[in-house]
Amino acid sequence: MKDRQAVVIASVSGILFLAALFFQPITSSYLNVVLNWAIVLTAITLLVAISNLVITHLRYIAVGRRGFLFSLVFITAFAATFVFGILRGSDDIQYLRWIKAIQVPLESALLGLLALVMMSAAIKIFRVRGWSILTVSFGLSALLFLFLNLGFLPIAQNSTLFVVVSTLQRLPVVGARGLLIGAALGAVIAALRVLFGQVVENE
Amino acid sequence: MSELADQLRTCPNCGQQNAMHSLKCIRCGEVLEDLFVFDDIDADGQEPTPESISGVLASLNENDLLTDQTETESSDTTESQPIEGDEEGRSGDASQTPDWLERVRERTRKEDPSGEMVKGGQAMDKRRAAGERSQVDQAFDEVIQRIREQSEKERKKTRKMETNLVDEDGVPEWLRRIRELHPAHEQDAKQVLTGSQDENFDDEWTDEELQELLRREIGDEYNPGEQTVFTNLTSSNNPEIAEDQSEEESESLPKYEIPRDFHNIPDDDFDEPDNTKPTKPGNPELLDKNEDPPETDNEGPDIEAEPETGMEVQNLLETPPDFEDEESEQPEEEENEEKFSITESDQIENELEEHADELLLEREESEQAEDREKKSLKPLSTEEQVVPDLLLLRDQRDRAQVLTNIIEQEGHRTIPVLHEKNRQSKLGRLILALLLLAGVIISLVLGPGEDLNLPLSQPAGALQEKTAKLQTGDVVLVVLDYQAATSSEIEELAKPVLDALSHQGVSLRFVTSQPVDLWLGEELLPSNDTGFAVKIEFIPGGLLGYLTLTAGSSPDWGMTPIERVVSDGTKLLDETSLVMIISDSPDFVRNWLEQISPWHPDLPTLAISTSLSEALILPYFESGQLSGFLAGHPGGEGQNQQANQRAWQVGMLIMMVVLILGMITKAEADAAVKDEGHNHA
Amino acid sequence: MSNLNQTDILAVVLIILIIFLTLLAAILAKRSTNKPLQTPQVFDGIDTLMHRSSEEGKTLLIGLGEGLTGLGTGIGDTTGLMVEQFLMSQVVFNDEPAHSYSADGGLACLSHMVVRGAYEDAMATELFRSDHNQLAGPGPFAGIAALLPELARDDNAGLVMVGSYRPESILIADMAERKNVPLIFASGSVPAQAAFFVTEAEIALGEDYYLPAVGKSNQDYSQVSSKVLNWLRILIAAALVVAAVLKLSGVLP
Repeated sequence: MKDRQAVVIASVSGILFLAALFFQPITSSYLNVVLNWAIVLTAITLLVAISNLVITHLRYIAVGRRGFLFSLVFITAFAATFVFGILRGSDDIQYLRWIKAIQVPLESALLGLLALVMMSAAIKIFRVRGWSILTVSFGLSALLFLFLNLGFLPIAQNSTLFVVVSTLQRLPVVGARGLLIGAALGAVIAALRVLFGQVVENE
Repeated sequence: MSELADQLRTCPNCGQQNAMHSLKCIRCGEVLEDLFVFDDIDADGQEPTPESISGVLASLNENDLLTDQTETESSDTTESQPIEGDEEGRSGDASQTPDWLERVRERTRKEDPSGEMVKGGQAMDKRRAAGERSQVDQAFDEVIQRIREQSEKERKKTRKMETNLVDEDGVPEWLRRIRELHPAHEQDAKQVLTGSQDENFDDEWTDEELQELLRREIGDEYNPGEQTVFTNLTSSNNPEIAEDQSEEESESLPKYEIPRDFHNIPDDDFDEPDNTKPTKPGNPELLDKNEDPPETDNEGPDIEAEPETGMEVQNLLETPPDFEDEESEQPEEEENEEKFSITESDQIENELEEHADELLLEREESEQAEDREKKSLKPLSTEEQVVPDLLLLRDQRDRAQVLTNIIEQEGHRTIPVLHEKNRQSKLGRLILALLLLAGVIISLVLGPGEDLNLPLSQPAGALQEKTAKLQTGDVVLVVLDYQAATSSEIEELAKPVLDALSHQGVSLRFVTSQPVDLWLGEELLPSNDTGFAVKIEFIPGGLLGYLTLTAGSSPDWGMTPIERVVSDGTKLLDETSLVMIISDSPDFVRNWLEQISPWHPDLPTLAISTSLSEALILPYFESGQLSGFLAGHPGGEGQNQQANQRAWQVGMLIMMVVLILGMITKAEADAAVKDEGHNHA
Repeated sequence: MSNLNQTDILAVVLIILIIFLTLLAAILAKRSTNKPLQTPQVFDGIDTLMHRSSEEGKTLLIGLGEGLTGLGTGIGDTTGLMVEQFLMSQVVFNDEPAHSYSADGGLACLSHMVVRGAYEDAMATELFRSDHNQLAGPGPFAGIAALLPELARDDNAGLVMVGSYRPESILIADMAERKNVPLIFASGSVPAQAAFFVTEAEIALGEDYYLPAVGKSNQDYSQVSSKVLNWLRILIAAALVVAAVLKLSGVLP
């Protein structure tokens, strides 16, 4: 019974919330309160996770675990950001610019690698996955849409070409709809499972 | 086992208690008398003597083969004399030939003067034995090996367990046990084991001492005959071990004379001929063959075994041959030969002589076979590599090899990989990267940066149309949700649109649930032409926060935490004319359209996103949930911004070339594999 | 404040239908003797990777994504926690403990609870350490940046990425390929599925992500869900065809 308490509470809360979404405006204030609780909990969990991360890296430094220098860098950066934010305030423009000046180049460089990764993946995909309907259709559609987006075709001048290209460009919509419907159905089933407290069978 | 297990009989030779129905003594191999009591000989119930054993065979007089006792008796006296004389000559005793023997001889002479019957039988036996010798010998060897291995394993186990046990004197447990088994050798052991009293006893053992100990233990655990065999063999054929033997040890060991070519130790450990014929002193047939004087003089009694059937092998296992006191046994054996030999006649000796030659030939053949077998086995290299007590059968050796392979594979992957990993060429990746960089840089440096005049896409046109309809004073809620990595692409798309709205006099309210957008969104804030500062508001909780402000209402008892943080939070969408989502994630746009927008279905929603999101956002535009969106390069005038479209085209072309190259290389690889297959075929 | 509109009514009907079909599938599954449906291959790969990590005595890395509680809300992110629960129940006594990384605070805390629960169930709480599952970062790119150096180590048996991911996470796949670390990717994000399709990773396409069944764990649930999904697809396809016919015939405006 103790194991089931949490499951019962979670499922009852979820069902009530779902019902509250449908029985507006009677349950509107209830929704507001519950969602506020969820937001506060989310913020607290983030704080707990951050503190756990900091403590873990401090432990790595104290123990001298392999790679503790990286932990030292992390702790230093975190401490500097935290201290400066407290001292100067999160609205300080200088403070925000400093952060931006460090973060934007780092993440942009990371994203820049994506192009190289995609290039090497493009040359390997057929070696890895072989010739199949999926890979051949992927390759052909990639070539087609890359070419269409190049802008070499005089679409504006030729109405027939415009219609053809527009039709081709709308083809992904068909596949996307099917994918989205399937993903949504799967998500609904998974969510209902959690909602009704179905215990996971673990052998 | 014998039904009369309680009843034991004592061997007259060594005094060993034997089962009631034993034919031979389990210790000395002495053929036990009194098994068959003859009325005319052992009627008094006296203690069986070696001579009275003839009573056993006297019962054969009742056999059909031996019909007329009187006839044999009459002829025994005359014809047995030469035989007796021969026997006496062999044995050196002047004992009288028993009546039953004389009768047997008489009958033999009478019925088969030429010895054909015997010869045939013996020939048949020999042929059978020869045919089955190898099989039986092999089986016998395997059985003996198995017994040795089992005993060795047990000994190893006990040895291992007791390795660390040390008694109060510092003597290890295993040594104490050995000494208990060999009390006579204790002094020698002490002489050999110099550091036996020290605590560091185990550390002071030398290889020679260990071998000496091992040799003693092997001799103690096995049949003394084997020990003797071991000793004799080692001394004669294995000089390494023979050097370690001391005279005292050899004297203290029971002296058994065993033929040189006999041993029951597999040849892979010792350079010895594998004589798989154990001795059977009690076997009359063997004794017949052992009556060849030259062989016995040189090497002891010829105890070459010729087990006829597996039953004899089984009998040997149950009553292993005992070679103790063989010297004292010999005269008794010789006496018994006379008594035990069923088919003994004048011609038997001749036949034995003839058979001796055959036996010699057979022995040579067996030696040759043994040599061949030894060559196939791993030779002994050094003393340290030798494990003389580890004897493995072939299948056990295979299993050990499998186990070794498994142990060697420890730490390596044995479960097949999910995908066959292809060796990645680092040079190939470098070339691709350089190619892309070179193309983009060259197009940036050399190529023109003018507008390509791409046609305006339909969603982009819808967005332009929607924003153009806004009036001065309308409020547009700008929801920021993008990361620093995509800020360059997003801001290039969003900045012109927001500037245009600002010029139209539209009020822009910036909100975000991403902390990072608090400083990234500064780039999108319009210039202060309107005179008031625009700031970005943070909404905690992500989508939950938006849902709270959209779906929930303020309770009567007070403000909720999020209402305290966001000014007029509950009216976030009520006073908004248009929602513009600036996000690099299609999932956020989808979630907004599915979770937030239904609460305000009349509120139009626009989106600005990366080119990656275009395909997934398009269905929502097609269904009318999204009024318009900008993604990637939407085309139209003024859309080139600062992004050089020529460089963008070069990058796209390089990507196409690489994709085609991948297809070509795969096709070539498949063709090469096919050609190889054809060539092999 | 909005009353129930057409979309809401359609959503309620769909939920009731799904509940009914789930119950029906569960009842039929107990009585039916048909051959069970094949589970998605990606979860068989997870099972294989789990056993390999036990055999090799190396670390199994688990990436739980960036969704669930707010910033990067993903639908069905509880699947990643479910898979983590299956894995942890089997790898508790491995030579090297499994490490899980989350790019969301709430997800990290829930993961912490799951891992601790696994150790408690195995009566090995002394083996649990809080650094076995960490917050990789407050955002998706921070999560990617945190996972890359973990892959660079030598003693990794494999990486299982289950949860909500962005297409940019393909950088992790590239690192895994270069370090020869087996990678399994299961996410409900369609763009991420498309991006990982070009890599050597074992991926879950479409709604396979929502049918977790690792080894013998959760097989019944996976079978029931698969049947329900099949029935729903048939119903939706039939409804679309009917709607198209009605639209073309002019019945529907």
